[in-house]
Amino acid sequence: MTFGEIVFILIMLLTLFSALATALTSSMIYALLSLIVTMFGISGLYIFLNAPFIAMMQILIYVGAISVLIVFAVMIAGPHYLHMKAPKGWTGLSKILTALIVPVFTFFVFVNFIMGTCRTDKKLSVITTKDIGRAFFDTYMLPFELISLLIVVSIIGAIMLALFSKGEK
Amino acid sequence: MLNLLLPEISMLLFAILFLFISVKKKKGSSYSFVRLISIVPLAISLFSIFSKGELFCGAYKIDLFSQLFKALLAYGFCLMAFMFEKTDEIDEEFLPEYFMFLAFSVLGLMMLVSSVELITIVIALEISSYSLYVIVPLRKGQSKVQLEAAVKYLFFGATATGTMLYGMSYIYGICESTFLTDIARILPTFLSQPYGILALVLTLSGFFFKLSLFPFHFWAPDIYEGASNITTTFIATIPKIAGTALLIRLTMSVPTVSAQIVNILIVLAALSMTFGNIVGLVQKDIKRLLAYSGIAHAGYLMMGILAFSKDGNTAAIYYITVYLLMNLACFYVIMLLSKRGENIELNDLVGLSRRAPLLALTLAVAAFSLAGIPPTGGFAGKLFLFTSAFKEGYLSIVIIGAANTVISIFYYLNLVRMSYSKEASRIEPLSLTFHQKAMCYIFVFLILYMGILPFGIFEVFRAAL
Repeated sequence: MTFGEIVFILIMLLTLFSALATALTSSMIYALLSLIVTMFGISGLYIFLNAPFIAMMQILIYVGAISVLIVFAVMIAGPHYLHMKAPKGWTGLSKILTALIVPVFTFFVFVNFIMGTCRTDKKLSVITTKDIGRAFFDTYMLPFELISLLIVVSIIGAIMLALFSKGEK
Repeated sequence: MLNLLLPEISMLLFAILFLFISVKKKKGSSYSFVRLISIVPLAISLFSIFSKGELFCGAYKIDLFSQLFKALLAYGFCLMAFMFEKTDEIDEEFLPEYFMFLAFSVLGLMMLVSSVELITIVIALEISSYSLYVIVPLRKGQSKVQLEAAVKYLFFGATATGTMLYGMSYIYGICESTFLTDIARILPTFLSQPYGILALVLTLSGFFFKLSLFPFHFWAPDIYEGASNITTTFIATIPKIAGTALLIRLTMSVPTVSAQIVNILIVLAALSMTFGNIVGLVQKDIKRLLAYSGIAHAGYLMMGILAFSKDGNTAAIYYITVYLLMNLACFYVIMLLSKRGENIELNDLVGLSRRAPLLALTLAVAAFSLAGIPPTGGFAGKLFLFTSAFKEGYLSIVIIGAANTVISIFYYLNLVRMSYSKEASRIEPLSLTFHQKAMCYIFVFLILYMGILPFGIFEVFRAAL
């Protein structure tokens, strides 16, 4: 076993255990912290897939932004919601069944679909961060610029809705 | 380069103008001002209808097709601005923002009809959708209904975008390009295989959502009911034009199709028509009724697109134009009837012919057109759609469509029956201003014109393809 494989297995284990902890813990804050660890683990997997740019984005967006957003939501919602009670009325078996139906179904359907397609075995080239940066200002100039318009629309919309709901009382 | 983008720039300036007005301390945006400057984008898009070109490494294509749809969008926007009435629907305070978001939405749709690259398509579509998500809850007298509508629209919209992106990721996986020109070259060889079918159908589903076609229709009735009348008018008409344009653009880029894709589209169209018409039979709220009628009409529209022929696509463009006019006419009557921005029930129509004969006439013409009865535009549009599907040999969908037309006549004519029935308990005459009368006459004229003399416009649309 090479060093890389050992690191890979460690990352896998870390991701799996923190994902389980996210689902199983009853405390909101612990769930959030384990979610952050899961996201780090997934970004490690992206590095193994030779996609350093996506790994970086994963950390920036999920660890940096989304988890802060969740912290804010927890903070605004107040301490009352910190400890979630598991909803009653679901037996263990039905939980497992419902959790399995969708992934198993989609897995088999998609495996069938993809197996039913003949493709050429073309070697994929590795795309570096530099290529992506070039593409942004070259081929994908227009969508890149349009995103700024999209952000303007959503910021103004958010501010207006905040004002709108303030006038509710 | 800038002269190619004139319609978009005019729309952007429109939005920025209202952004500045909304920042002002004292807000007094007059309706006549909005009406006046809404003509500018229409005039500019008509002026630049023959411009041609490609921009941004081929991601943005300007041809007669896109310019025609831009003109249609600007036309719908202009008609909407003229329909706007000083009722209590939208808070006076938020009016400038409201117009700004409408303009941004139209801008997004204008960019959508010109984009020939998948990522640009998604982002243009999102600019338009985000603006709509924001304006749905803007209705005076906040209630749970409109907030529910807004949240539902947001979630359904996000799901539809996710589905579309998923499909596009498959297309990218197959073609290794996001440009429609490359996709048109490579995708057809995969279209008889499950992988390719999955990719194309999932990608189209984002536009099925905009058109509220059958499996993506869940949002329509609730959002129509919850949003204010003018917002509903916008959502029901203008995004559907751009949705049709993109469906045509995507299907045109695939020159030959497999029977499987056509079969999927036939099933969706048939389910959409049948479901929409049958549920429409029992509706009491007119906006909900129009929502189900919109679902059914999306099914009719698909008949033109699934023919995968030039005639079929032309028929679809023709039909969506008629659809724009007849829906605007219906909603105009609703808006004039609801004095405080409330929803109108079927029973509120009773005695309309006595209260305001012109409104009753407009509603009757629009309903006849929606049902597809001869002298109106709806008939001509349906005729073109049915013949195009028939020519390509899809007899089953033509029969289902014809049967559905008969079902739908019942509830459309019910609108007319209600407004012309005699047993009116209260007759308080509804006086219309000159502007309102003129608008009604314009709608009646346009719907009848498109029914009586359809071929000139049909040839114009055909030239665009």
